Amino acid sequence: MAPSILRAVRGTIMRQSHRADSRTRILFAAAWGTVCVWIIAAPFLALHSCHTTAATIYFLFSCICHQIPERCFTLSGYSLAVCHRCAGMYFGFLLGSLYGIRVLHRSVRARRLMVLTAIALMLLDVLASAGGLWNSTAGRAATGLLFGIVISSLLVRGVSEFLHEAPWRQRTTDISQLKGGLS
Amino acid sequence: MNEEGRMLKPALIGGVLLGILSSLPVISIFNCVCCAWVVAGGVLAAYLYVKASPVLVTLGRAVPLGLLTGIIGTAISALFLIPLHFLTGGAGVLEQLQQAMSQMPNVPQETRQMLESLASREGASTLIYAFGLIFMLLIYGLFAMAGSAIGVAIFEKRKPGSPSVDLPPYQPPVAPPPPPQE
Repeated sequence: MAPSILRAVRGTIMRQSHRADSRTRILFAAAWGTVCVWIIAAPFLALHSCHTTAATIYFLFSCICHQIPERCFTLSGYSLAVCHRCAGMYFGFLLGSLYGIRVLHRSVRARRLMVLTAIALMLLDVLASAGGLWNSTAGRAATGLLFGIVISSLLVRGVSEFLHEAPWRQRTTDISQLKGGLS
Repeated sequence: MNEEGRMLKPALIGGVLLGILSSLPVISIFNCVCCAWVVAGGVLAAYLYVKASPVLVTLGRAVPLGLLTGIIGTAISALFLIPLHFLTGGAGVLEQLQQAMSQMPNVPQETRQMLESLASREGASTLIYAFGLIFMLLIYGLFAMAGSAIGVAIFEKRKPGSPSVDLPPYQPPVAPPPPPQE
């Protein structure tokens, strides 16, 4: 009797945490998807003569990206709203929120190793590019993509954990326990 | 002190650093490299928080820490940037809009002039600026959260289930000496 109850409770907790995780995933995928749509929409709108909206999007992204035309992907002659590396990163954020990396959460060491690898590869690409040793569009986009996927997986897990251990949730649990104790 | 109280000091240090560095004229250019200062502010806050925390810091704690750091950083940036905007009469907005227009070489001259005259108007430029600040709050919050998660992933070396504080090893109680024989 007792083991079956324990199994049922464990299953409920697992299902609940899985649901919280998928909810966070959906939320993040929607947010990063919107950002990616904006990035692609800027040249598309400029192409279709919606210059005010396109200029607003370029203006907003100019706060967080250098937007050097030679360092941006183009769509029908118009550059995207962000550079190669940033585009890779934002699409990486989207991919990472859709498909998390399981290895990343296997152990503390694996997590640290993956994060450091993603950062090191991107820094190496930045430094090699600045030093004139290496200049590759694919390299910039790929290192940005890897960084985005890793960081997005961390963020989804972080927000999921935060929602699971949030103070208001604990208060609700306390009240329900109190009610159970009274009855 | 509770967890939220303990979070405030690292978030304040990280937020002030990211706010100041993101507002300084030449140094702020580094924000063009994946919001480097914002991520660095988040990493610094996480480092200080992990160092001061007696318990294991989870990624779930990194999220509110990063969010708080980003909000403080945006407020500090706004403290620097809003007076500058009014002092220059919105010249910064016009300059940024001109840079944005340079991404679209085929824009007709009339449209270009219309957008520039719109941006040079006092009310419109302030509105664009306010919209930019809201966007900045969102982006700073997200990137500081990412920085904070990176910081926790790098600096938190304690394993889940390991003793959270450095307690002295267990000493069994010493048996009391036998009563003196009379």
